[in-house]
Amino acid sequence: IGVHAQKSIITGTVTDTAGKPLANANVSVKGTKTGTVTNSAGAYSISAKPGDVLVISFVNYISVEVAVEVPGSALSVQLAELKSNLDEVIVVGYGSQRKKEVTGATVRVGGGDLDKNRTPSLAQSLQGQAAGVQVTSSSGQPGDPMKIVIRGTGTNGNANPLYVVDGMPADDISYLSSADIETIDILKDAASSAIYGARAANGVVLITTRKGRVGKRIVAFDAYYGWQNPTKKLDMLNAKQYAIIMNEAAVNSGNAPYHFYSQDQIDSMGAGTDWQKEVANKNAATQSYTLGISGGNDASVFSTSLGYQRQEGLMGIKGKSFYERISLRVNSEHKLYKDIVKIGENLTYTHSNQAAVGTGNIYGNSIRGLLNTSPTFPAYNKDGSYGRSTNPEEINPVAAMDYLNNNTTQYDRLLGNIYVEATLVKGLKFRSDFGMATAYNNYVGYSPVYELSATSVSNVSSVTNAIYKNQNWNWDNTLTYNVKLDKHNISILAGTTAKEDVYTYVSGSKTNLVIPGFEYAVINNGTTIPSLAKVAAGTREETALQSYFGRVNYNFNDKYLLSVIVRRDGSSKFGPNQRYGYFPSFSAGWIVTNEAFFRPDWMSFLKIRGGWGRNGNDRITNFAYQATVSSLYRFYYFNGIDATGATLGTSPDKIANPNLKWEASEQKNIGFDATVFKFFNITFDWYNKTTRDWLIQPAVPDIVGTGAPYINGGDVENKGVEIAINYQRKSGEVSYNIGGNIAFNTNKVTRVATQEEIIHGASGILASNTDEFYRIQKGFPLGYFWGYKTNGIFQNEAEVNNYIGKKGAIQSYAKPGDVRFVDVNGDGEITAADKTQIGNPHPKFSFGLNLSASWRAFDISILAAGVGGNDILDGTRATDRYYNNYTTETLKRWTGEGTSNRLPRVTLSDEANKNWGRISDLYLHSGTYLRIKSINIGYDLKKTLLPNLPFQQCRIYVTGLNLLTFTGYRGIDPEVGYGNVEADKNQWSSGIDLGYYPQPRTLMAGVSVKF
Amino acid sequence: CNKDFLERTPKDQQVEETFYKTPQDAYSALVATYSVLNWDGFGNIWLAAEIASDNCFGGGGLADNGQRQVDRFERWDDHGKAAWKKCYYGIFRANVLLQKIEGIDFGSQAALKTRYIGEAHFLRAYFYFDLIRMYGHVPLLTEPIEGDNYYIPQASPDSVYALIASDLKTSASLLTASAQAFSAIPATEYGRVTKWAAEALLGRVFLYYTGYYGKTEIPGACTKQDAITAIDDVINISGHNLLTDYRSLFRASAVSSGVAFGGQNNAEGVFTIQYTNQGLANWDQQNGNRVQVMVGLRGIDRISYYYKGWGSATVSPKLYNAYEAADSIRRKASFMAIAEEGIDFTPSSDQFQYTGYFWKKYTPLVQNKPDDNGGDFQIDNYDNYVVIRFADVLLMGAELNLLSDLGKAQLYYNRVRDRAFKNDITHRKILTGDAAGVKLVLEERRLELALEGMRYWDLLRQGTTAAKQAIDNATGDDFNVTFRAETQGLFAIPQTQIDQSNSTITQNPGWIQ
Repeated sequence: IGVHAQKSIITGTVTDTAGKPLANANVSVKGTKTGTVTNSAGAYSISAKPGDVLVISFVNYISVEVAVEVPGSALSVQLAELKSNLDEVIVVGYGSQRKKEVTGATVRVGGGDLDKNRTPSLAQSLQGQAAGVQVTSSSGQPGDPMKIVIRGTGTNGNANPLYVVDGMPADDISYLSSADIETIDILKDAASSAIYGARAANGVVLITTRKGRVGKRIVAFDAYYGWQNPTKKLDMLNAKQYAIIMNEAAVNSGNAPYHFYSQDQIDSMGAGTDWQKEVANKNAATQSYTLGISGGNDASVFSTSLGYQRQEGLMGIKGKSFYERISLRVNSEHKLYKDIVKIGENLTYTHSNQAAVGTGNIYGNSIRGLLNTSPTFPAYNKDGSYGRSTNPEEINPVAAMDYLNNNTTQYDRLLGNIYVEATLVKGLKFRSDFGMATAYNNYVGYSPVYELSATSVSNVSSVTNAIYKNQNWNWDNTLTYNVKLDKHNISILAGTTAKEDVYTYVSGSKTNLVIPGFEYAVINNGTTIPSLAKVAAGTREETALQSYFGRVNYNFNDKYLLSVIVRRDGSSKFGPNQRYGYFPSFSAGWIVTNEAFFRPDWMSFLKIRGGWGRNGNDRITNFAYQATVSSLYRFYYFNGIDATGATLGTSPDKIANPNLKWEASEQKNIGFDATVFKFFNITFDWYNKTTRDWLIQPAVPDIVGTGAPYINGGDVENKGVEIAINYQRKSGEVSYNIGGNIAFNTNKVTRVATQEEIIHGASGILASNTDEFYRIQKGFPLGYFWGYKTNGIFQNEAEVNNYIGKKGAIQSYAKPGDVRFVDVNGDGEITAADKTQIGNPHPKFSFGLNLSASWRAFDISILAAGVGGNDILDGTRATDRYYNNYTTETLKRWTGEGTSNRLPRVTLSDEANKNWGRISDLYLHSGTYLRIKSINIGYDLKKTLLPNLPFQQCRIYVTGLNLLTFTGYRGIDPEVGYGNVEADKNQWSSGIDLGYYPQPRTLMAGVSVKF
Repeated sequence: CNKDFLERTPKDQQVEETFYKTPQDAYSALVATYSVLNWDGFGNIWLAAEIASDNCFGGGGLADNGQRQVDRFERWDDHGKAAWKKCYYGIFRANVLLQKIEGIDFGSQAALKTRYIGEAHFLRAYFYFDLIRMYGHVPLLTEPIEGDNYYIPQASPDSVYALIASDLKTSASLLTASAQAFSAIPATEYGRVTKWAAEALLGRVFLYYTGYYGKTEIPGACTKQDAITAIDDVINISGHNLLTDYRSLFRASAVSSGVAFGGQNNAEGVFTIQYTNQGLANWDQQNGNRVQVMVGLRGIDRISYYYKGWGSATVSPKLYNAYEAADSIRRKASFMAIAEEGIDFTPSSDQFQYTGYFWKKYTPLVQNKPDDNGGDFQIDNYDNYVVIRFADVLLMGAELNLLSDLGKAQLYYNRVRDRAFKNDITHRKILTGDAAGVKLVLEERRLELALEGMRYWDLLRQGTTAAKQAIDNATGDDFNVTFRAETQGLFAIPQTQIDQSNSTITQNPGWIQ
C-alpha cells in the first residue's frame, strides 16, 4: 500500500439478502459527484481510492456505506429491504395484495417483531406493536386469556376480533406459539374486513404460520429460560398496624377502646403474615424450546416445527398455577402439475395443560383473598397444618388456595386445512380450501374434605370431570381473475364459504372418593352419586354459516386504486325473518407520488386512501331469537325428603324475538401512507365506526316473570385517529430503527333501545352489598363508571351542620371524618339520583414505542407501550366485612381535624353515611401508564467467535419483560383488564380491579441457532 | 348448500311453539310453578316476617347486613328483591299454564285439566298474597306479558285481593271433584294443592284483608260467610286433624324431647311446601329449605342434637316469657333456651343481637344432616315448611265464628289449647263475642304459631298502632327497634324494580328517601 493513495477501479455486485442481483442500484463515492448504477446482473465499477466511502443505495432498501481499503479490490454488498417495503405482499383475506395497492387500513406485524419481543403468549406480543390495537389481560396468570380490542369497544358482547389462521377461522389463538408465526396482518377498517362479513365487526386478525422456501434446508433451534417475579406487591397493613386500625374502627363505631385487641396484645404483635409472600412462587420459571426445519425444491416446500413451552405462575402453592404446551406443526406445498396445479396443507396439533388458581370476579378469587385477609394469624401452624383465624368466618387464603384450586384443564387441538389451487387459463385461478378443527378440552376438578371456616366446609371429597369438544369444518371455494389491459389492472374474486360448528359438552361428578387426592380424581374413584342435576350434564350445539362474497380491485397505472367488496352471509343463529345479511364496502386510493406533477425530493411516496364499509357481529347465544322452554332447575319433590324422585317442571326461560338481526358496524376511514425524507414512513388514519343494533338482553322488570328477550338494542360510536411513524437507517455497521405509534379513540353510546336508554350493570360486583356502578347509557362511554361525587371529608360537626341544601342539613347523619357527597341534583338529599359519571374505563389514547439497533454481532431492541386517560376502579378491599385488611394507604386516613381531606375515618360496618358503600370517585384512580414491555440484547456468535462452525446464525440473547412501569395507579397492575368475564353477562365492563393476578417481571436468556 | 343447512334447532330444549301439546306438558308447566315455592332463604317472607315482628331480632353475624334492617324498618340496598322476584316468577308460570292449557287436547283426561287449572289458580293466589302483604301496591298481571309491554303500573290493593279471593274460590270449586280426605291422599301427592288448602287460604286472606284495610268483606269476591263456610269445611270434612303431641310437629322438637316425629307430611299440614336434600350442594337447584340454616346456631359445628347455622332471627325474650309456666310443652318445642335448657353454647364473638334464645322449630339437626348425603348444610336442609297448619285453621275458625257462633268458636279454640296442655282442661280460657275474645284468639295464635311466619301479619291486621305497640323495643343498644307507622308495615319496593319500571312503579309511602 502506497504512502499516497492512488485512484483505481473498484468493482463488485449488489444483491439483496437472498442473493438476487439488484439492477439500477446507486453506487456513489461519499462527498463527491462520482456515481454509477448497477447493471442487470447487479454489477458495477467505480473509480475510488482507499479511504473513500462508497454509498450504495436502492429504493426501498437500506443504504449501506463501505470504506475502500484495498485499491482495485472487489466490493460486493448485500442490501436489506426496508421494513415497510411498499412492495411487500400482505394478506387481505382470501388473497393478498401489494401493500402499495391496499386502500383500507391494515397493519402488519412481522415475524421479526414478534421474535424480538419474546413473550409466552402471542396476544401479548402484539401489545404496543400496532396503532389502535389494544391488548389487555384479565389476569397475569399463565394461560389466562387476553382481550384484544381493535379501534375501541364496539359491542356490548364479545369484542375480540375474528382470527383467521392460514385461512381457517379460529376462536382464539392461545394455541399458537410466536415462534411459529411468520406474519400477522390486522384488518382494522370495515372496507378491508367486509370480506369476512358477518363476523368482522370487531376487526380481523389474519395469521400466517411459517412456510418453507425454495432453497437450502434450514434447521432452527430456539430456546429460552427465564425467571419471573411479580411486577409489584401491594403494601398491606402489618399485624400491629391492623390491630390498631381495627380498634380505632371499633371506637369510631361506638365501641369501647381496645375492643378487639388489648395494648399488651398489640405490643406483642410483629409484622404478622404477609399473605402475598406466602404464596409467591419466587423466580418462577418460564421456558420454551422450538425446533424447526424448513426447506424445499422446485416441486415442494415444507416447514415443520416441534415446540415445548412451560410457564410457572407467580402466585400459587404446590404447582397450582402453570401453563405448558407441546405443539407440532407441519406445513407443505407441492406442485402437482407444472405451475398450474398446486396442493398444500397446514396442520397443527397442540396439547396444553393449565392449572389455575381462581381469578376474575369476587368469588373464589385467590388474589383478592390474599389482600383481604387479616395479617394476625399464621399461614401454617408449627405442626405444618394451616393456621386458623380466631374469627370463625375468616378463611386462611393459603389453605383456600390449596383446597379450592385443585384443577387442571388439558386442551388438545388438531387443526388443519388442505387446499388445491389451479390456474385454469392465464390469470384465472381456482382455489378450494377445506379445513377442519377439533378441540378437546378436558377439565378435572377435585375437592378434598376440608374446613376453612364455619361457612366454608366440605364433609365429602368430590371429583368433577368435564369434556368439551368443538368440531368444525370450513370450506372455501374461490375464483380469482387477474387481468392487465394496458394500464388497467383488474383483479376479481368470487367465492363461497360454508362452515359448521358442533359443540358438545359432557360432565359428571361423584363424591366420597375411595382414595383421596387430586391425582386420583377420576369419577370411578367416587362412591356416591350426587343429585340428578350434578351427576351428569351435557349438551350439543350446532351453528352453521353459509356465505357468498366477491371483490373487485382496480388499479389504474399504479395511481388510482379502487376496491369494492360485497358479502352475503346466512347464519343459523337468526330466525327465518332475519337470517341473511349483506355486507358491502368501497374504498379508493390515490398514489400521488406517481403523478408527474408531484415528485418532491423529500417525499418519495404518498398514498391517500379512504373507504366505507359495513360488517356484522353474530357472536350471540344460539337460538337467542326463539322462546325456548326449559326444565333446568324446575323440579319439585312431591312428598319432600321421602319422595322417590323429582317431578320435572317446564316453563319458558325467555321471551321470543323472531326479528332479532345482526349487529352491524359501519365504518368510514380516511388515511394516508407516506415516505418522507427517505427514511420516515408515516401512516395516518382517521376513522369513525358506528356499531348498530347490538344484540342485548336488557334487564326487564321482574314482573315479567322470566328471562328477557334478546333485542337489537343499542349503538356505539368509536372515532379516532391513528398515527404510526417509523424511521429506519443504516450507517456503516450500525443499523437502527425507531418506531412509534399512537391511537386516540373516543367511545360514545348513541342509542340504547330501552325506555330508560340505559343498560344496567350488575350489582354485587365489588362485594355482595354494592350497587350498580357501571352501565351503558346514551351519551356516555360504554360501561362508564357511575356513582357519587365527593367533596372532601367533614372535618368537624360544624361542617356537617353547615352542609345545607333545600331540606336542611344534607348529610345530617354524617359524623366528622365521613365523606361529603355532592348533592348533584340539588334536591337536598344524597340519593341514587345524585349518581353521575365519575370515570371512564376507556383509554383516551394508547401508544407503543420501539427502538432496535444492531452493530456488528450485537443487536438490541426495546419496546414500550402504554395507555392514557382512563380510570381504574380499585375495588380490591371488600368493604362488607369489617375485618378485611387494608392497604397502608389507610394510614393516611382521617383521624381528627385536618388529618385528611380524602380518606374517611375507619369504621366497622359501613355506617349511615356509607363512606364506601356508596361507590364514589374515592374508588377511582388514573390508569395511565407507560411500561417498558421488553428489552432484548442479542449477540450473534457466528459473526465473531464461531465463524467456522456450520451455523448461519448462533444468536444468544437476554430479555427483560415488564422491567419498568411508570404509573400513578396504586394497585397491583395498571394493565388490569377485568370486566365481567362470565358469558353473556356484562362482558362490556372494564377497568375494574378486584385483586389482580400480577403480570410477571421476567428476566430470561435464550439462544437461537440456525444451520 | 340448501336451506336446511342453516335450519338448526336446540337439542336440549324445546321451544314454545312445539311445547304445550299434551296433558303431560301441562303437568310439567304446573310443576314448574310449584318449584318456585322452594326459592329463597334470605328474603323469604316467612323469615322476614318473623324478624319484622316482635318475635325475633335480626341477629346473625356482626358484619351481616339485611336482616337487622328488616328488624328495624330501615332501608337497605335492594330491600326485599328476592321475594318480589320469586312471587312474579311464580305468577308468570301460573299464568302461562292458565293460558296454554286451553289449547291442549286432554281427550279422555278432562278431570286432569280441571285439577291442574284449580291448582294453578291457588298458586297464583298464593304468590299474590305474599306479594301484596309485603309490598302493598303491586302490578296485577293475569296473563304473561306480550311483546315489550313491561311497564305496568301498580293496581289498587282491592283489585289484587279480588283476584286472590276469586282465584281461591275457583280453585276450591275446581278441586272439589278430586278432593279426598287427608288419609286417602297418596304419599306421592303430598304437597299438591287441595280443595282444603284453597279454602284455608281463603280464610286467611279474608281475615288479613278485612283486618289490615278495616273492611268487612273483600268487595265482590268474598264475604265473611264465604270465609266461615270455607274454614268450617276444612275443619269438618277435610280429614285434617291435630297431632296428639305438639312436640311431634317439628323434627328438632321431637328429636330433642325424645318423642316420635310426626312426619314431614302429617294430618296437621293443610298446605305444606316440600323440601328435599337432593339439590346436593348445587346452588342452582333450589329445592332445599334455605331458611333453616339462617336460624341455626352460629359459630359452632354441632351441639348435642343441633347443627350449625348463621344465628339469625334471634328470639325475643318477650316471646319466650309470654308462655304461662304450664305452657312449657309448646314453649320448649318452639325455642332453644340456652341457659334454661343448659345447652353448652357460648355465642361466638361476632354473634349479633344475642338474646339467649334461638329457634327450635326448624333448627338444623345433626341427625340426617344434609352433608351426610353429599349436600351442603347451607342449602340442603329439607324440613317441610307448613304454610297452613290445622291448628291455624281452628284458630281462624274461632276468630271468624266468634260473633256469629260463639259456641263453635269456643270449641275450635279449646281443641288447640287442650292439646298444648296435654288435655288438661283446667287451662281452658273462655272466649267472649267481642274484642276481648278476638284478643284471646290472637294471643293464642302468637303462642301456638310462633316462628311460623304468622305474627307480623296478625299484628298488622290489628292496625299499625297495635303493631307499633307490640314491635317497638327499647331494651337498649343493639336491640332498639322502632316500627315506622308511616310505612304501614309494608316493605320497601325493590329500588331496581322501580328503576326498571320507567317510573310506572312508585315507592311505598314511608320508604321514599
